[in-house]
Amino acid sequence: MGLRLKPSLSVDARGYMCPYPIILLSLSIKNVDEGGVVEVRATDPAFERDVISWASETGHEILELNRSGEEIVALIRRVK
Amino acid sequence: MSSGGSGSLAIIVRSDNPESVYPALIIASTAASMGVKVEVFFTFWGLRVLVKGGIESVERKLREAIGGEPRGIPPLSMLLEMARKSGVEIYACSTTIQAMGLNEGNLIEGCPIVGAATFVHKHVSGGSRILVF
Repeated sequence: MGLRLKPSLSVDARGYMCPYPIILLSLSIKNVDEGGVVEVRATDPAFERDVISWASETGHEILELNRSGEEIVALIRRVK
Repeated sequence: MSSGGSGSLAIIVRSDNPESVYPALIIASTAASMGVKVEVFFTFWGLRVLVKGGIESVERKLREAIGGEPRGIPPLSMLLEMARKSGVEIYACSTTIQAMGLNEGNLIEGCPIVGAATFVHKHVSGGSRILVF
């Protein structure tokens, strides 16, 4: 493991189901500069797959995607 | 699978039942967040959602169906706001408005009234994917 990436913005979508975590991520990433990193915490079990699909469509880069118990944490870099 | 987000999606909502309205707005807001151009056209009983107080009525129906507060799902008002912030455009059907004796003043803000020709021109001729709820 290298240095822990420091997100430019952290958003908490815990307790909310689809589509909230993805929409929150989508709206939040507009608030960071290109190259900036958004951290999303979610408990929707679908988020783990959904964020991969979302990134694939939007072109943003998933740097980390970890699950710990019910909580999923994703670090996404704004690409454009 | 590639980046860039593309295409357009037209969603027709013709019912004000929660099982129509919620999935329609969930798909709409999610698609918009993935770069898809999305328009939602509310017609017949679906138009009731856009009448002032209509959102609360759909939320009430869902609570009654579930027998309590729905867990995890955002309130419909919030879902609609998120959809709009994500770029979803909402349209009201002119014929339904006339049939129900309504006018623009009865509707919530920001719902242009259009007819079938606008829909066909934008989506059928334009090759959008179309979903009906």
